[in-house]
Amino acid sequence: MDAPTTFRDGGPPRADAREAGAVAAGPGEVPPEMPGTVDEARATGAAMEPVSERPVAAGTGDGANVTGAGTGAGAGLAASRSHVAPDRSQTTRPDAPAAYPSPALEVRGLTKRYRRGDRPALDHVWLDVQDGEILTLVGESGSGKTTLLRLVAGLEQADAGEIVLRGRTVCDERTFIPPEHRGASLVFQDYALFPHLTVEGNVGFGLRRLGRAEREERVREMLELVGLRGLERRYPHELSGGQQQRVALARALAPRPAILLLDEPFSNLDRALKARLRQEVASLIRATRTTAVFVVHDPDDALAIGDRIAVLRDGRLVQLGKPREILDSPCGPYVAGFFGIGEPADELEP
Amino acid sequence: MTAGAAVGGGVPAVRFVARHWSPWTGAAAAVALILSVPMLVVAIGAAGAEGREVWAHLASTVMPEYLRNSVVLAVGSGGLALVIGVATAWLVATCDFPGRRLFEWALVLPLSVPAYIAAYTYAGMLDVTGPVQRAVRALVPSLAERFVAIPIMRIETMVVIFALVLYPYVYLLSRAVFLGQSRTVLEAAWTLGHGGASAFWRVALPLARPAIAAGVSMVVMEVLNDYGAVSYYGVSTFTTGIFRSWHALGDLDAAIRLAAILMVFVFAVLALERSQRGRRRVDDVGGTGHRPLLRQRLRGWRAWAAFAVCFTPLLFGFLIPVAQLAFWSLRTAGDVVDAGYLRLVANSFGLATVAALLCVVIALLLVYAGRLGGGRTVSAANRAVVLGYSIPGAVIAVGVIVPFGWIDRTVDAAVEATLGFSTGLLLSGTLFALVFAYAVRYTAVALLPIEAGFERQCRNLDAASRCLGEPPLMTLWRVALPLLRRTLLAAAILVFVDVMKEIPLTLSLRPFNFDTLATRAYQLAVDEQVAESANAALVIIAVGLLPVLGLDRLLTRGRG
Repeated sequence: MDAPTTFRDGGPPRADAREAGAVAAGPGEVPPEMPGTVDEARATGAAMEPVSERPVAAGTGDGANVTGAGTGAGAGLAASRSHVAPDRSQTTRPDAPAAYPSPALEVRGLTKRYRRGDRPALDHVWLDVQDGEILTLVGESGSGKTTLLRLVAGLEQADAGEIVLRGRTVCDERTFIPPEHRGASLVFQDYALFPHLTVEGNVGFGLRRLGRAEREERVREMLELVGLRGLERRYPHELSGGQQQRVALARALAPRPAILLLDEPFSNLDRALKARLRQEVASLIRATRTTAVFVVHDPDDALAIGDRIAVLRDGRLVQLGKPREILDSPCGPYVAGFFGIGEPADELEP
Repeated sequence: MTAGAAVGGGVPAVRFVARHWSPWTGAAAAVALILSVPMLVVAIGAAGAEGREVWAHLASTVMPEYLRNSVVLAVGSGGLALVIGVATAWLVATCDFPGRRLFEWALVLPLSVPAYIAAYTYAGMLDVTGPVQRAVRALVPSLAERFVAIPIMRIETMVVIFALVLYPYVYLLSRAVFLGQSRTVLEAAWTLGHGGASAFWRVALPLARPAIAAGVSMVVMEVLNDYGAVSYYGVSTFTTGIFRSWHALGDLDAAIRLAAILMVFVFAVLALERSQRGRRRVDDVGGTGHRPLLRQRLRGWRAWAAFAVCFTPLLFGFLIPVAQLAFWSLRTAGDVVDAGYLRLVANSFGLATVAALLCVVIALLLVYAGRLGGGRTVSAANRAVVLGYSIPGAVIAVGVIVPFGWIDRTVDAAVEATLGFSTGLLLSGTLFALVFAYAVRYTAVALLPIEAGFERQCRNLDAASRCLGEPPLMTLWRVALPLLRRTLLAAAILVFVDVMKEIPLTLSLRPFNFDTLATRAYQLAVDEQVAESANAALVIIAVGLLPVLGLDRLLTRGRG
């Protein structure tokens, strides 16, 4: 499996993606032997399998939704919109917003400064995630992507801005809902599995309020889902890296979170494993129709997983759009450079 | 996936008005404030306007002597401990000689001997009726006359005894640095032509300076805190001065003032240590590679010299006093061990257990409040509590008795006025006051290892638990407590040992007729019954050996 993997993920994903973008116009024509493109195809509404029934269609109204989110604060919005790719309105279908009555997550002007006087780790970021959508947050280290994730989870307190989760304001100037009341599950970079609990204990950790039978049923269901049946009694240190990650995922999904947050879930895995796992994880999340935000620092990961991608730089949102949009019209040289699309187009299209 | 439907719009939000405030932050701040009361009382009391003449009186009479003695003890013991600690650490870390492996851990043993026990053991050994003088008289009768004339109980002896039982602080910290740095820096120095001595003076010592400063400042803190040893030797310092003004003269005002000066003294030492540390961290040692250092093998007279340098402090700091105590104990055990003695043991262990549990619970609260994002409030609270450990027991005792006495008088007066009877003493002179004072001084002892344990063992685990819907208290119960079991036990043992041997707080705050092993041993020694005190002293030393020998293992096994 090495050869196709390296081609798919380590190879030239740009070409794939571009092609995918091109082909996506004609649904169902994506060649199945190019799995790296399947997600983009799916994201653009090119249905490959039942999962794509989730209401994410082409041009999930990025521009439109950002506008919608900012109705209350026009000034801040205008500022933030200038960061967004100017041409995205063209790809936005006019009917898109109507299909999504309320986004799963809205982030409005979120700002966080760790120390007074420092440059903010997060600077007036606006974005939204639709129900069932997978958003990837990319950027270099220190760009604020993990900070954004921890703010949404409730592990940090914002200095300004609002977070609305499933229509409920969990964070604004006067509100701070602690993480245990938010329903946002976080998969940590180091998995943070409880070393004193078995696989079963870990997955069932968030199900204390369920009855015993119900809890066991749900744990079994989750372990089935991630393919770890039979390892119930193992302790985390007796598992491989990939297995640990799946336990972490199962644990996070078990309480049916309002949103699933993943903090660089692939950074601890070697390259071959990572390529396989990211598809696996993404399809798992889609299979459970969970809304998810991935933090990744590898642009390939972002392109492979995300329905949409948010590019952060120095705490600011530079671009928010679908993979194809970002590849087609990167917003400025930084984004182009980050995704390695600086070269002239004719080099790629003979 | 039903979450979208389940968590709709109208779910009641848990709202906090002040965003950085949580019950944990509030509790941490309140606890820290309560534990700071003794320090605040002393600071405010000393700054009070009344009693200028107290100042003047103190300054013209006893102050010069207290100041001189305290400085001599601090500088002398600190300096001698520095020499012993650094020399032994250097030898054990970088050279190979007979007994090195043994010395590596045995050099810590003197730490288990409280200074006051060492002090009166040596006094008992060396006085006219003691074994040394009797032996000299028996062997060389002509010398006997002159020998008797040598006074033992003087400040110089005191300095040596403090250094002998406290040098392990310097030894432990500087050895860690020597071991860490030698792998890289020392080998570099050696290859550049700087042999043993040169490498030591030019490379190792400057690099170890922050650690050495930290160790010496711990020695000085212990010396300034000491009451038992100096009062036994009749050396007047601030601590004895505080107790004399308070107990003998009944002058609490003067006691507060002396306590305040002592506190300034302590802060000066802390500031000095900090300036030595500079931007470096004490624990910032090496960490590059795990190549074991090739120790220089010493041969011939050098090897024996190294052996002697390491054996001497061990001999005088541990072996001789313990042997003497064991001898006395065997002789007197029949008379000493009775029902009353067992009550002493029960008192000591009970009190130390209660204090250890209380300190661990408070420390856990403070550390966890910090992890919950308590911000500046909680970190200030933690710093205030850590400061408590550097405040001498005599100062804390005064700081506890003043507010508690005030509360007692106020309540008594109020009840007398309204209900017509006297409540007497509710707080002062009770075990409650004593345990509170222990908490003021020893919570820091539990706090530091617990903080480190959280950093090491729970990195993201408590956050993971919160995200899975468990509120802080449940997270503590389901995640932190199971994981930190051993760390908490270790922290409790540290407090336990400190309380077991504690003298100044226990002596001055204990209820009437309530004795512990430490206070009884001390009282017996003061009453010229040194041999009878040996049994209790040995129990204290044995308990003190627990952390010295087992704690490292307890903490390293605790992982996983």
